[in-house]
Amino acid sequence: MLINVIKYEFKNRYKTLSLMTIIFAIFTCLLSGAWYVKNKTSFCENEAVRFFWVIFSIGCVFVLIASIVCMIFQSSAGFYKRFYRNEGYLTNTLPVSSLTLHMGKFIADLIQIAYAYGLAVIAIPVILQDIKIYSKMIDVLTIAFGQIDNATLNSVSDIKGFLIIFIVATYIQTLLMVSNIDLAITIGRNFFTKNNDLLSVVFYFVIKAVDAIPSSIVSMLLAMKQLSSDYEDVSFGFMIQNMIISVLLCAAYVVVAKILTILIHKKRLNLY
Amino acid sequence: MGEILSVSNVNIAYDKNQVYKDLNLSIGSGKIVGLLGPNGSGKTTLIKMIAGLLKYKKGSIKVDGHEIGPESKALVAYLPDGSFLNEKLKVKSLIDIYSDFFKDFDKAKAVRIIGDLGIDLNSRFKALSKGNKEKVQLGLVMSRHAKIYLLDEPIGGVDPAARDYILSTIISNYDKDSTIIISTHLIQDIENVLDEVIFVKEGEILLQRNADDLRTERNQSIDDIFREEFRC
Repeated sequence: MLINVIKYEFKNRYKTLSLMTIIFAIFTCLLSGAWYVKNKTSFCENEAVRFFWVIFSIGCVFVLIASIVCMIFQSSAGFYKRFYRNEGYLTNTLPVSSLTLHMGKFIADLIQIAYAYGLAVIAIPVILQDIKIYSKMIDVLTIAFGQIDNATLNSVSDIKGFLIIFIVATYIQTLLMVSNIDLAITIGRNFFTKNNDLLSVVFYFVIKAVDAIPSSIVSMLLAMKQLSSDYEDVSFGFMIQNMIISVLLCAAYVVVAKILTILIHKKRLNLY
Repeated sequence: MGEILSVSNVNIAYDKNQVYKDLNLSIGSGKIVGLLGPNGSGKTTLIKMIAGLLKYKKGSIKVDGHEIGPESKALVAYLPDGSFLNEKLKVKSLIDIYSDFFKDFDKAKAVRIIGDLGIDLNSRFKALSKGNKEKVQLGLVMSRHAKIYLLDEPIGGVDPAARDYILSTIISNYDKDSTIIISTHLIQDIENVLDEVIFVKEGEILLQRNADDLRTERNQSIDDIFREEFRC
């Protein structure tokens, strides 16, 4: 049944995903084409054209970022519609457990967020007309980190590791955001019969605040440990360590948020 | 006929308003049951509890011996009062969703019922008229070979011709061993098809009787009895 739930999730999402992908492709082509024209011609010497070019570039980048954000938020908007609005009358009467329903949604989220970031990773070098952008980025980071940390940064593989952890951290952060929104919606809709959408928003910020407490404690402890040791060790390694801990904490939060969402859905479903 | 639905000592409240207190009910299989009562009497709440959309505080509801959960949902076909399908999807995608999830779903029957309405399976659900949307929803629900059909106000808000279509679709497509629970306050339109009636008032079951016995005993139609019982 899990496969059927994942299929159900994508049947409900594919149209928005396709639309966003098309928008993404069109604006990536437009922006990269505009870059090409700008670099190869003296077209931009005119003030008015240059002004238009700046506005156009900002607009295109804004649309691309908005597409990624839409793709991510579509997951939570879909959750709200499919679980707690009129489509909830079908979703919640399907002969599957709460666990299966939420696992299906979670797997679809994992794929959707990876897809959104994948599009961004492909689009950046295309927009910037430079397929070697990532190796250049590594060069820049190597120099930047080399200046703050002569002791621990030895190779390009360290920078690659940093980039990978950075991408994983961003991915998990996004997943956490979606999971927290789902949890807030679940609390608002199932525990209250009046003003439940407003209360969902309030609970989102409460959850964010609760999440921040252990993160702050861990960060403080790490900082204290660093301060008590040699100055030379406040380094690239410390940053990596912090990021790994942040990723692990976020992953733990995602699991807790999911468990709470499933439990509340199972025990308190209230589609009045 | 054996018992298909049993409700024992169920309590449910919205905020601080008690809707049902110690509700007890038993319904046998192979019947068309009218769940009748004025607006706000608790008909929809009862149907939603059986469908698994509302968690009750105390008590137990069993469908063919199964507590409310995935097993009971596999036996219950639910038609809510209003649209419940993703409007962006095509009709054939909606049929596929039902086919994927419900083992008792008869895809050929759904295609036939919807096809008979002249609806193109490739058309998007949102492109259909309000009446056709309701008919597609009814077609999907009635294409299941469920043990219980829960139909919440299926003829509310439609014209008399559509009412006739809806009632004939229900009557001609349900399994004779199954039970249909129809909630409505348009009693005149459905009273001839009812085997049993349940009158609900302010969260209490006023009466549960065989429809023919009640008519004979009171020498009145169900509609007249309803008007008498619920006179303001």
